[in-house]
Amino acid sequence: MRLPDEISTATDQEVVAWARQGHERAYRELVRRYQRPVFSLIYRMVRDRERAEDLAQETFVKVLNALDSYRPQYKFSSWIFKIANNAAIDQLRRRELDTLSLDGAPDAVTAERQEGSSLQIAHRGESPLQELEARELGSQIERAISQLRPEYRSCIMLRHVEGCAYEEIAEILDLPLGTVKTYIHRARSELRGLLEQVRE
Amino acid sequence: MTDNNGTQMTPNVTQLTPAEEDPIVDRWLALLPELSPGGGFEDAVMARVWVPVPHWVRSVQSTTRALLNRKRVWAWAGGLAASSAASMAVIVTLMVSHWVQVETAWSLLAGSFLLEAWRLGVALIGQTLATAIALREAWGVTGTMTLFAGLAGAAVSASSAWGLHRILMGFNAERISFHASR
Repeated sequence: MRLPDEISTATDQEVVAWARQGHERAYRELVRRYQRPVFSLIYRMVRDRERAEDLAQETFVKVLNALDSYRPQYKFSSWIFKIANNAAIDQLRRRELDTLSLDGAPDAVTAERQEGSSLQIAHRGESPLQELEARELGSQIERAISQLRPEYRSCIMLRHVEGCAYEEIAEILDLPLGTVKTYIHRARSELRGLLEQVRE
Repeated sequence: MTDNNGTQMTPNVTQLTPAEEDPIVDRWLALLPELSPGGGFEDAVMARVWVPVPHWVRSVQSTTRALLNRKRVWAWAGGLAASSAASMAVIVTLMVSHWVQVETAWSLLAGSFLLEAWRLGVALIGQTLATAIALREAWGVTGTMTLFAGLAGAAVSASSAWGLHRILMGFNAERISFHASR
């Protein structure tokens, strides 16, 4: 299968097939497609930018070096999210993390560390005031999400940020479909309670 | 969700569909921004990823390696090279010993331009040979020494080619085992 000049419109399966043939451009395309979703998912789990970047890098290295073991009948996104989520859960098990701050990691004690661990939000073309408001609102939602149990957090992130179907989330997290629905329902209930003030 | 008596019902969450999701919470979640890793993330990942050699390159490499590992192929290649060299030597000897006929044939076949080119080439080769002979005489080099020098030169060329071959093969094997061990 010959690599076309434009591969951004190709399906994940096609890009993976090209990568397996040894086309570096296909590897880069996979990184470009998934760097934001994977980083967002991991960041919202571990809540430290530097650590999230390291884990996102590990995820990509693991996935791209094991492309031969990828089975095309499954969604590539499910596979990469599964590895990303496992990396984040492992990290959380290793280390208890504190509350979220958009200004940096909870353990950031110096200005450089705060700068290094603070969020880099994708630009949406907003004015500085809108950006500030969105940042504040986002901060409250992020804070509410950070108070959820990690398994609820994974479910809610995959459902609402990555737009995964329930079945896909069940596959990614190795959970029964009913459990996924229960987790999402409970997570929503908790978020509703936590965000009640913001809603008023 | 309420029943006829107005009491709160616990929804059967296992039967929830996306349409039944809480629209307000969903709206809040939709506000979550997309986060980007720092600059250079792609390159940092690619620096640690091993991109396999394209399939056609692998098949050419393995075919070449298989051929180079066969002694018969080397014997054939050596025989071919020796016969080519012998043929060339015979041709050159014939041309030099039948100089006038060759020149006449060139002028008849190719015209004056190629004849001039031929003469120029011969003059250059003749001059190089004359210089080599003059140097040999000046340094007092005997015929036997010249022969040994020629043999030594051939041996150096052959060992260089062998060394290059070993380096290329060694590099491929090292690269593969390096990435496999990561």
